[in-house]
Amino acid sequence: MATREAGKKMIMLKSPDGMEFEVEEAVAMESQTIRKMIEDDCADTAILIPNINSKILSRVIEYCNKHVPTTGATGAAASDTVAPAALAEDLKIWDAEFIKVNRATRFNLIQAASYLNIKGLLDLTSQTTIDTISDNSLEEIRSFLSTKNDYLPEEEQTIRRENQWAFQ
Amino acid sequence: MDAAPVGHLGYDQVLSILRLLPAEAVLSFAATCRAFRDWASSDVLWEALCRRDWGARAAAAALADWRCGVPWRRLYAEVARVSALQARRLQVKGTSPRPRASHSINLVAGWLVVFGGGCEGGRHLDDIWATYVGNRAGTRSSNSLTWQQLASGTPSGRFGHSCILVGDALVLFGGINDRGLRLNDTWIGQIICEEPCRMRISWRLLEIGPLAPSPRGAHAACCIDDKFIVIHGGIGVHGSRLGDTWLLDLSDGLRSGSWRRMRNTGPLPSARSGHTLTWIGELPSPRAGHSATFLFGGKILVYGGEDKERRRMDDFWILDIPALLQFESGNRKMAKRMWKKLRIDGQSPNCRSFHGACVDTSGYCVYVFGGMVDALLHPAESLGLRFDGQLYQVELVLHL
Repeated sequence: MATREAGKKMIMLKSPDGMEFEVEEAVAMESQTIRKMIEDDCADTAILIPNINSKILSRVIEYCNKHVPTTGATGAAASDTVAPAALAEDLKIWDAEFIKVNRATRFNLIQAASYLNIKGLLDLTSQTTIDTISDNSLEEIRSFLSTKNDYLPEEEQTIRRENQWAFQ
Repeated sequence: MDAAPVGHLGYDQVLSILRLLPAEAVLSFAATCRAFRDWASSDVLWEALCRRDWGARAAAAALADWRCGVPWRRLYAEVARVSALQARRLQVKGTSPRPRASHSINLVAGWLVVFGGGCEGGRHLDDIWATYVGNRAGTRSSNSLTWQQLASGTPSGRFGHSCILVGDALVLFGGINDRGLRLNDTWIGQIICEEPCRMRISWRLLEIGPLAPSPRGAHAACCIDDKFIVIHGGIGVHGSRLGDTWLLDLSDGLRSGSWRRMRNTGPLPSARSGHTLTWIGELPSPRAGHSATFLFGGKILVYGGEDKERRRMDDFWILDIPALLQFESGNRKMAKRMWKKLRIDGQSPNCRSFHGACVDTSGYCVYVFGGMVDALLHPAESLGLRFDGQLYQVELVLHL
């Protein structure tokens, strides 16, 4: 297994389009899916990440790199020494920049976050979807989700009646 | 490139997004087209939403009480649109505890336990009463109740104390006696069920080490995770209103405890007394404050109390905690959803203040005992108010 710097274990991640990314094990383990593979010893050499192309995978790794709890030279958590509030504020600004991508990329990131089970990234990438579905008319939601209304008018009425409790 | 991106997501991925949505947004999603309705109607999804918005324990209670054949989506809807309470005065055979206010009432191991309080003439009480009602409203026979007076005198008489259920034990702190003395002792009451219909409580002073909150009464208290008690404020030694917060660590399994003062940071509530404190972090098992009772579905039931002209009130309100949390995180639309006034059917407990209230494990049945009530029906009494000794059962009306 590749190692770099003192004691930092490295993991190789491979995308289906043939790109390879060498990342610290701690960074890779931000993904609960990869963490499980590593803990179950299924990750001896390189891990193939299916369905996630190199462009998206590199963004995911960028996110994990930023969000992995930083460790000092002794291995103790360095976040003890930085004010947690300042750290959180910094991350929030970084996240806001990170998520300025087009809609297709965003859905790809959702897909990746869901498959790799990275809760923070899923929350972040889903937020626009959540806001859009929460705050807009049905027509606007349909347009956002690129779907077509296939209900009959009387079905629509029934649905409206059934759902009234949530919209009073 | 932008076409039909959601179509590319699999069922699991869509589900993981829907789980993050407010319930009404899930319904909007379902109303867009047939395919999405199928995804958004899954029982797995609505079970997750119930657990998220009600807490795991309330969802487990719902599972036990109503789940046979009822889809989770319907359960969610019913709890969301609850608008009424069914109230009735419970019939008592034999002696009742005497009318009182500022006492404590808890439901522990199926027993309603009343301790202390103040009564006519401003006297404190030191008696302990218990009656078996069962842990769930549904399991109680409709016969009248019988109160038993337990060994009384320990802890000493007081009113305005806090008595909080931690697991299957009571943790009592502070209070005021009728010489006006404020207390700061901490007691543990272990419930001992000897026979099916007899119980006693074994009280002992808790060893707490060197630190304790200053003596007080009419403070607010709540329990967190069956391990900690938090108290706030109250009336201190010279009648001053307090604004400090203390935490009692009971992680030693109630053998001993340690108080520590919570550091004050940020904006603070001003010093006050006679208020309530309710832990909402992990949506724990339902529990009681003095007039704010933690209910099923992440709701807090607020009943009665008095206004600034000291007029007692008879209104029941629920505060919806999931709506409150969404409002706090920026969803302004939730403002109108946070508070809801409920209709009362049956025998209303009327206008009342300084009563006690507690909820059973189902989370939708609340017991209200005692307090100060209007004396209009008894013109012989002066001041227009009197102590009351009635026990009421108040249930959320759910159409299941």
